Amino acid sequence: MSPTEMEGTDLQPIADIDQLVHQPSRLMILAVLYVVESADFLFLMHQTGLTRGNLSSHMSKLEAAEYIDIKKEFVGKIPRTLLHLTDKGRGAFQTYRHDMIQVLEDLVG
Amino acid sequence: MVKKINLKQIERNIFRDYLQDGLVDIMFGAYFLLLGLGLAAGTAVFIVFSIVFFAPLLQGLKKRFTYPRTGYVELRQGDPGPVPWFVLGSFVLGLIALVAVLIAAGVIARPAQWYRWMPIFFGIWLTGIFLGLALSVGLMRYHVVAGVALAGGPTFALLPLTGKLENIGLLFAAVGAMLLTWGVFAFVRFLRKYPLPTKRDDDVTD
Repeated sequence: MSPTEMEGTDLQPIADIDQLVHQPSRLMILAVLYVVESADFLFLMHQTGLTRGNLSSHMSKLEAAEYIDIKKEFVGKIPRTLLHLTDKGRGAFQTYRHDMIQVLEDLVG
Repeated sequence: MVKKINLKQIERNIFRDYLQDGLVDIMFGAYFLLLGLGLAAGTAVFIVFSIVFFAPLLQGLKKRFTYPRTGYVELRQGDPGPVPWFVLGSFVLGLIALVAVLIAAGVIARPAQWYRWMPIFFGIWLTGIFLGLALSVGLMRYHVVAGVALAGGPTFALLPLTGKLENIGLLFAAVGAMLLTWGVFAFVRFLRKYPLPTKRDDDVTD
């Protein structure tokens, strides 16, 4: 059953979960960025354990949704990719947490 | 089985990772050691004010050694955890202990001797600071430093020294030396664990 077909049923809250945040790799990235001011690419690689390509791909998706802000800069001659959670991303993460808690509580109850 | 994790734990782990290079310990250790030796020698004024160079120097060292290895992070000014309460609580407790010792030793009647007992206060205060830090980040080395400060307070207060600030100076020097040693060990371990990457991982061109 597609999410559209589920509309109007009791399962609708599950379909409403933000898929962009729900993916485990992206959830890790957002969780780290949620508790820091900003972090660079290398730091996120260490914290999440993601490969360079994987992290880069998920970063692009989060940036496209305006959940994170990516700034490329040079520190001396070394390039640095700095990531920062936007207000929209912070809100999406908080909503996701709330929705997941609600859905899981409802499923158990 | 899924390991329990929450945002507070993630934040705590990140702060612990921030300290894993040992540079903060080296800086504070060197500062306390120099301050202590300066107090004992009566030339601590310049060392006290050298704290203003602390932040830029630490950033310079992190930029040189840490960020190329484990990446850059700017910590959030969020919930500071139990540290401020430990700092405040141990400050008050230190003052109470000091007053009690001054009364018990009869120093109130001989105020010229008060400075000799100051390590009691500083020992308890430093213990609170490092105990709070240890409980916040879960690093064993801060428990050890807290223990040294706690034992050092009464020990240095009872040493029969002649100089006015020698007792306090030696307490700071002991805590500083311990912190500096741990910091150097942590720094060497950090350099071994995270060698410089051959290629910059954050050179991403999407």
